[in-house]
Amino acid sequence: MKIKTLKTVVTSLFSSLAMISSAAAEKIEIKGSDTLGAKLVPQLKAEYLKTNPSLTIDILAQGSGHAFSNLVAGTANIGMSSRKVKDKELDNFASKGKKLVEHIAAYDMIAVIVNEKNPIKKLSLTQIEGIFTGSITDWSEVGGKAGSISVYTRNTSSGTYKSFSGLAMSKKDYGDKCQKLEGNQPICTEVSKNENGIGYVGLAYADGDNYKTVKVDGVSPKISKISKYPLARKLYYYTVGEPEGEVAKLLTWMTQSEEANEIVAKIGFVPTPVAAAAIKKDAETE
Amino acid sequence: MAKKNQPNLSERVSFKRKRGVQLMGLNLNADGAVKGFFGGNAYLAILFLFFICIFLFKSAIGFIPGYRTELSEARISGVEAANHVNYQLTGYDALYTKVNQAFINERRARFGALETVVPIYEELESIIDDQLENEVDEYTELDEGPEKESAAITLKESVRKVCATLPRSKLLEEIQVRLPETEEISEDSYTRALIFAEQYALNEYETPDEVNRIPSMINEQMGSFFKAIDTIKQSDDELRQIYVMIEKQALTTYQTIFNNRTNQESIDVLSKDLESLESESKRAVAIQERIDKLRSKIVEVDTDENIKLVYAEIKKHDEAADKMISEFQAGVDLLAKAEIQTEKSEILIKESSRLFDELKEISSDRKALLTEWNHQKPVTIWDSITAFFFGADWKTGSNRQSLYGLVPLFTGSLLISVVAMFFAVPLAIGAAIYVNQFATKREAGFLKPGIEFIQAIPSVVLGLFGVLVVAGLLQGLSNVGWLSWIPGFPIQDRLNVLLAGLLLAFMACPTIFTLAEDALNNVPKAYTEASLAMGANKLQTALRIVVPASLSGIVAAVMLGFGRVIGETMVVLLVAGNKARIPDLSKGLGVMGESVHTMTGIIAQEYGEVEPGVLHWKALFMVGLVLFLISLCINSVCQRIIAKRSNKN
Repeated sequence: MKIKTLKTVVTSLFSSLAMISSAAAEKIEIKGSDTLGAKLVPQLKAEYLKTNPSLTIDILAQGSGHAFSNLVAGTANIGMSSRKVKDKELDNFASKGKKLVEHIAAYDMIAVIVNEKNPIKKLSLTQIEGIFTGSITDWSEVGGKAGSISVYTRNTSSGTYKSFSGLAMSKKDYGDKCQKLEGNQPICTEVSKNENGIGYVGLAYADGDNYKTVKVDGVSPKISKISKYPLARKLYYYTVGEPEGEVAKLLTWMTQSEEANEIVAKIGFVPTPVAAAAIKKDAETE
Repeated sequence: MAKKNQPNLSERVSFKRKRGVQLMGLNLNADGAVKGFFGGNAYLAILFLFFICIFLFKSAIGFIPGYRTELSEARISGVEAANHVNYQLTGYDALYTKVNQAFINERRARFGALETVVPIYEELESIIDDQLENEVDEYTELDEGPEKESAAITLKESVRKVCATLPRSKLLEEIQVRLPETEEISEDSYTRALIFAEQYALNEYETPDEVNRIPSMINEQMGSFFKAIDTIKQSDDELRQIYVMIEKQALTTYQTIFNNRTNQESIDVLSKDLESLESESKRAVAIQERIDKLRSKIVEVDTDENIKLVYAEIKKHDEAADKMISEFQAGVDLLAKAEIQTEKSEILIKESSRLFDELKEISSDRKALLTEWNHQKPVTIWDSITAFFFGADWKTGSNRQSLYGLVPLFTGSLLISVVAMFFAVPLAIGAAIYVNQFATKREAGFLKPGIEFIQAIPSVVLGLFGVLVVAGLLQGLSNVGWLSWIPGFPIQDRLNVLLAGLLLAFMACPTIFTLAEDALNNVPKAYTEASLAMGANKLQTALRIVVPASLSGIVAAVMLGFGRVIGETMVVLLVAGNKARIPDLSKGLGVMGESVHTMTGIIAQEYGEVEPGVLHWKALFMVGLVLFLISLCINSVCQRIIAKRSNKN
């Protein structure tokens, strides 16, 4: 008799556990890049949940590196990254027998921002390199008002930090006078409060109070100029294996649907189809 | 009623020995269990501490040999030699930028009027960008022909129209920001700028070459100053060429060696995984594939062959370095002949002559190092230890060689802590003396809990408060004219040592206050009474008797406050500015306006990106270990001081 009750208790326990786990299957965890995860993905999530209210989506944006560490540990379904995966990270996936699949999320342009009061309107790539590597230290050297330059950069765990060094600084090291801040927003804040500040942010942050973007090599960071702007890059979603079920549905919606593309454009990224069209068009004219 | 509840006296005093379970000779009863529970808790804390220590040491210990490997790879590939050359070039850059600033300042003062065309043109250009983008794009897409010609005329007209919308007075204001001496915009410069702007629109957003040539045209008129700066500008060419050659060669070797090593490490790890798997399983196949791929990436390098080129360049080095110095000197001599009119330029030139002396020193040091340099000289463990503890650069995530030098972080932490203690110690101890000796009971009743409540504020809240509120206030205050005597004022970087120090002082106050107050409280009543009986007044008693008697306790309080400050993470991460550079102490107290990085901040900031086990990760743990040891030292010294005091009492 006693054993029988024990059995029922155990089975009911198991069934309730199974129910919990099946409910957990409806939960999608997205982790990684701050560039993607701070504004874009949360807004996409809100829009998507309107049509799929039963789904739970958790977002954690701490830098691109976290995308891969979480994917490999199985604690994320989708990883967001503002850079391509590194070789070392691929090893981790291989050793677990996992295959990483890349999806292009959107195109981004890294905007170089200066204070509103700064008369500088444009900088060449060489000047930008000089400023960020530390060989140019005063605004008068690039045609501005005299004053020593304060350089604000992202920190080393950011994908943008690496992308920028590759795109704008011919892979040279950052100068030791750079102040490393914790995200796009702090850079905007510091530049907006420091007349001699300069920093770089994703295009989504390019419009704001008391700071402005500068033209890089004569091209302003506008969506229509994506093929000519020297600091443009791709942003990625990563999954382990080809996505399935809810994750696949969400990913297709985020990267391809009209609604999602509208949000992407509204926030300041360039939706993949638009970018692809612009690049194709320029390739044809040349 | 009261009588009824009163227990019988005999019942109260007699503690019956409770019977418990006898197990392996132990008497396990309820009392024993409670005692065991408490004791267990105490030991658990110790055990925990023990595990943390082991974890820290274990993670950090691999750093020293690992760093040694990287350093020796840098040596064998010649990257180290490239660094020696680079130090001189960095020194040169710092010097050149000063001279260049002086030059530009002088040029603006003397020929600013000629230069106005450039800023006017740039203003007009940005108006065209903002307002005529569609028209320009449409024009660009037209095919050559009469249609395009007529469109060009319309476009020119719209350019003029749009440019006219900018009132001259506003334009003048914008120009004055760059060229403060400008009094008016001459019609001539405006027309020229307008023509350039038209060309810009017609030529697919291409800035006319003439605009770019204007500064160099003006340069010609600067006479011997320009000749000087031109000589100086070219003085480093040869050395830079040598650097580029050495680096190109050395980096290829370095990266190949580095990749080979990391690939081999990956293969080792993967092979170990493979051993425990069945050979046919899906995972095993995937791993095998990866291993094969990694193996194919490993390439043979002949370091001895590769290094020959580096040596060939090093041979040329001494001459090039001497040439840089001598040509620079020639430039400086020319400068002496040039008439410098502005005070600012003179100051800059003076500063640069100080830097020039430094550069001479750097250059001769590095020259000596390079002559002795041998790629086969082994890197010892000791080299690796000194490179960590006395290294002046913390440069991680580099595309070249990553450097892990503790000095910039350590000095940053120390500087902030010293500033914090400077504010916190008088404040907290003063408060403690007041509350303990002079305050009425009612005052003490709200002062003490009030100050202690500060401790309850989460540090991230305090950090955000610092960034959003205090930083702005401090910056505003620093711009007030009559406060400019304060070192570091006016502040350029909002996030700096002073701000971090102030916030941390606020955080350290309750710690110091509570402990100091305790120490004052522990002074035997007899001391005070004796002093008062001798006729001393309350102030005399407090300052001459009570404070000296509790001095050791107060010192302990201050030290613990220091420990609290140096270990604080969130606040410094948010407000210290995170600039991994040794603070420039030559500024004296003005150093407080600089941004610094800290030991705690670097761990919080960088651990996110590094994969566990790589050298960078171990380096962060080394920093953690240093922090741990500092705290340990402070705490044990404090305990000794306190123990000594209680013995005396």
